[in-house]
Amino acid sequence: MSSLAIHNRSMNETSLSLLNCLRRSPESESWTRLVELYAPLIRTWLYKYEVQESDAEDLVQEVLLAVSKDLAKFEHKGQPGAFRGWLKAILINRLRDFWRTRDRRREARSESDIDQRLADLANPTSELSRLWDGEHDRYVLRQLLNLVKPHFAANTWMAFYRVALKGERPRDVAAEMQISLNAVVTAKSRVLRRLRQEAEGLVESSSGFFVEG
Amino acid sequence: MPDQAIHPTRAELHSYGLGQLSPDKATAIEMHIRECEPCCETIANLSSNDTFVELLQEAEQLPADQIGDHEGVPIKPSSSSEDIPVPLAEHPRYEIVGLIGRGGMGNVYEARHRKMERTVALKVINREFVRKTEAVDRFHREAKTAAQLSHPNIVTAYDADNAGDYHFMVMEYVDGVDLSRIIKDRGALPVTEACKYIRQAATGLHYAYEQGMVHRDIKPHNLMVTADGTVKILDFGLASLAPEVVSDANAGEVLGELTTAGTVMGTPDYISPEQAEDARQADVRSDIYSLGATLYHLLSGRPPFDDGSVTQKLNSHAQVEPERLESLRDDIPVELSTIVTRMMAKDPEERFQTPAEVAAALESLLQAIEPPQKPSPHQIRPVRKRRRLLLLAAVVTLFIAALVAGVMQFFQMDIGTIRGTGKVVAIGPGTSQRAVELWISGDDGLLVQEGDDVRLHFEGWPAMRSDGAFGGEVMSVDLTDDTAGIFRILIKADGKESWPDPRYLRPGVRANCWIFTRSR
Repeated sequence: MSSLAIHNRSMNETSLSLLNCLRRSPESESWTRLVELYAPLIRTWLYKYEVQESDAEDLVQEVLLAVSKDLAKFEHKGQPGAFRGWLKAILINRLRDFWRTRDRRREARSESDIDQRLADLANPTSELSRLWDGEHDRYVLRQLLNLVKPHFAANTWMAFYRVALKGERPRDVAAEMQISLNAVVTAKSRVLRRLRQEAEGLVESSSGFFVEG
Repeated sequence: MPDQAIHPTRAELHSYGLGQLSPDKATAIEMHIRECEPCCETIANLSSNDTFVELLQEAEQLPADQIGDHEGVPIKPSSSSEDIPVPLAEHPRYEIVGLIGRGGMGNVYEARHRKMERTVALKVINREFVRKTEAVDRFHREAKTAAQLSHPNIVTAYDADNAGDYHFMVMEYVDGVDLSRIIKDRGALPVTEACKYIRQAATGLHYAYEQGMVHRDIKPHNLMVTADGTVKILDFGLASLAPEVVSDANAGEVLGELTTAGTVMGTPDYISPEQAEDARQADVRSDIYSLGATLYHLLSGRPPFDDGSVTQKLNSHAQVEPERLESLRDDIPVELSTIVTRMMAKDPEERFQTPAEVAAALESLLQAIEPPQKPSPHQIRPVRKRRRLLLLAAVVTLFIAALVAGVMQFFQMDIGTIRGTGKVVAIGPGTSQRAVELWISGDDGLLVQEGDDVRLHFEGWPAMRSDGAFGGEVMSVDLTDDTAGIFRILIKADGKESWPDPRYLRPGVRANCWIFTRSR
């Protein structure tokens, strides 16, 4: 039950996002989701900062614990990308602690190297930050795709997959799947809408797109 | 019931298609288009390009286990449609047969040219490398340059093309295994085998260098070995795409950049110190360093600096001497260890300055280790151990018409292949029999005999079939004590067509030469 199914199609649907779910239920289920969503990304970045595999898992836990502990205090303030920036700051802090306590031997070689790169990552306009942003979005969306998929009928998902992700023409997909064009168009719209909802506040380009009026 | 008279605006339909509408609006439109075909058509025809969808597409392409370098992981050919991006699958010229490999730069597919029915390999560049127009331009420019290269030790690039925003390189399909796979399977290689592979790679590199190209990503994974032991260098012209990702960042943070781009550039096990510092500094001597690190890996079963993080490795390349090969196994001749050390000198000035020097050094080492068997009597000439290049003169008559049949026949026999490269010295004499004299710096010249079949490929000569070769027979062999060999080639001109255009066949033109020695 590590699903996102907490929200049924209610009046409050637009405000439901994964981020809100995480914040509302800081219990075990939310933790599972947090781990599923973020562990791969964090692990990848720990490796970039030279954390060995043996230490990485502990550190992933530490970062995610810190996230889950402070999630309630996190204020989005409507800035795009605020969450991933916040997560990045936590990661940087943990990495600094880690290297400060772990490694005195680093002085022999380029000790300042990691510090410098951490400082670089902390700078929101650096190339590294840009890379973090991009990878964050891709990893989160990748996980969201997995999490959302079980909530749709196989046909609906396949139509969405082929049109939106594989770039096939709706007409071709309809013909091949022997469903109506309307079904294809609807499937794509529904799944995309769901993904946008889940991603809201987490992934930059998902928010602020609503055309009202 | 939806009011058919009031159609949603185009903007609303568009937003609906992208899943951007609030639930109420979305529901209303959903009901509307259930009845209203034109509006449904409109949505279907709208382009689905928006940043969120693009991100989803990129996300969907992340490898399943999300982490790690998939380079060198062989994959069984599969034609499951999920592996093939649709625009590619629908390409008018190429029919995808299956995925045959994944690499840092992108996936490689086996494909068939629909019209020519020629099997090729398509290297599809990861879209993140060619997102910017200038990167696309550069890719096509580099591919064009790479396509000029024609050498038996280089995987031939035919063309660059695209299917939608999938840009790919069309390459010779090589039925072989890359060296990284070979070492993974077999561990360290025998000395002579490793030297022969690297010597061939050096020959290919030198040819490219003479054409003004450096590779910049030489590593075992980029060296293919075919069934007959020929080494072919992969991915010329592609390395220039990778630094693009990196080069925007602040100079001085190079280690960080490289680390960041670690997934992009692969593990920096083979990168030269100067290239790690600034990719723009890389010249042919950086390739020599990487080739040296590759040779080290072939001989020891592991890269020169195996432990530690990316940064540690880069530091080691810059500051640490790799463990001497003699201490890792006891059958390494001192000369070989010295060659590797010189290839991997920290200072480019202290390395071999051209790949040809590397090839020559390895060649003379190979000669010393396993002197070629005494060839048959009429070639007689004592083998001089220190001879670097062999002089041989052969006269070859080429019967163009017999070419294809001839070549095919020899492939079926138990043969050895000898390769060389040379320059056309003179053309003539006569009209019925035209002769081409070639200086050739080849190897194993002592094995060449009269009657051996020869294939030649002149530089720049437009491809006839896939490799532009034409062939003939060695008329005589003459070996002297000099330091270079001469081939004398006689070509019978059957018709104007078969005689290479004087633009291609003229004094000074380079040629690649294959001699098929009968099993002996």
